[in-house]
Amino acid sequence: MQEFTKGDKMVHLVQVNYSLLPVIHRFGIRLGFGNRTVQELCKLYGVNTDFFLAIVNTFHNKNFFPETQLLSFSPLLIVDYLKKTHAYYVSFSLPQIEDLIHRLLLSTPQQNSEMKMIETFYLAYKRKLLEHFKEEEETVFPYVETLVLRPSDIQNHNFDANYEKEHEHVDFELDDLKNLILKYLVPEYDELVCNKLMEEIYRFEKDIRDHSRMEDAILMPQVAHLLKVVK
Amino acid sequence: MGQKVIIVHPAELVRRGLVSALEDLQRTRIISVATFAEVRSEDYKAAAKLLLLVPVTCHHTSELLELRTKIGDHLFIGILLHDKEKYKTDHFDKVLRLDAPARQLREIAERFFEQDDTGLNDELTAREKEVLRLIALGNTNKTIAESLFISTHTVISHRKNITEKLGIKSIPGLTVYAIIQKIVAPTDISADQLS
Repeated sequence: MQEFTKGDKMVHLVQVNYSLLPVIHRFGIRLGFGNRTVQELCKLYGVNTDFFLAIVNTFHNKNFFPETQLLSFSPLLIVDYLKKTHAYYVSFSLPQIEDLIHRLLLSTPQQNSEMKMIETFYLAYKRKLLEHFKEEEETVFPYVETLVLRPSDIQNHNFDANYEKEHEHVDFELDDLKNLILKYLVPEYDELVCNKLMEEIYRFEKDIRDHSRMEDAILMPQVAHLLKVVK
Repeated sequence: MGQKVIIVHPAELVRRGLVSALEDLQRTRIISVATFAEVRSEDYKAAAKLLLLVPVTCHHTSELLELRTKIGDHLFIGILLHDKEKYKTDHFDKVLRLDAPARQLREIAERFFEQDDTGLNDELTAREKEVLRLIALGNTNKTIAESLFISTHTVISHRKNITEKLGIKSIPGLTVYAIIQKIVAPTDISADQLS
């Protein structure tokens, strides 16, 4: 699969893969691209071009994960990006899925009250995910920022935020949600709502998988490395 | 009425191994004895289905034949110690080597006993549904094992099969499935079971 470069026109990225638009937005880059290149627009919006490309290419190609390159970026860039993805999930993806599940279940026959459990399952999943985000934002991210900007302020040198297990858990439950709907939904439902819901779930699944991978494979090794330097 | 397994083998360790491979078959009683002479008529006379495991070298040929006439629905498995053992093939419906995987015996037995136990709405066996019900009610592997009189190892293997069949891994997911399939009622589930 192709890899985008800084000389590509920004509009070309979206034309090739429309699902990159939310990622571009996440960096604060707005439409009205004209014929400007990735590099030109990144400069205009004060975005690190190499970092932007690494993220965009990771999204575009599921086999692309430039670990060495990502590790070379400042952890502050990574944290900033992770915060932006959290905000995107919290304000858009999660409420969107919630609304679609609600509408999907409203379109099923009312006597199938067991189907409501799918919504209960999702709400419990969402609550756990939000707790996880909150913990990262209140504990992990500030810690990383202090570690980079004021390393002498660091008291606890044995920081161990091993979220890999938790991420795996989140992954399982999202997978279960998909299977519960795909395999066990009653056949009477609004198919347009269902199509949209499944599309949104698959998109979110891919997004959050990349997000978790950034935390586990990039941010955590960076923290471990910085801690060694500080000691 | 009922389903019976009779295990005949002189070696205690072999008997125990066979019992553990079959111990949690649904609605099935297992009788395990050292010699064929110890099998009593009350062990099998009320059985609807009989699975018999005996060494291929069992000399009680006429008794074996007689037993076949008494229980219509039967499966006789001869246990073969090594390839050089001589035996009459027509005495047995199947011959299994002692070093065969336990899973193979298990599958033969499941096919024999549960061949008419095909659920309408899903692919789980009756036993797996029972395990799933207990999972949904919030039980641990240990308490499930205790209430079904099986080993925790067997519970874990049931869970693995359930997850594989359904494609659902998490406990909240399994709980929702159990409710959708009416294996448990939503009112039986505590709120924290989903979190």
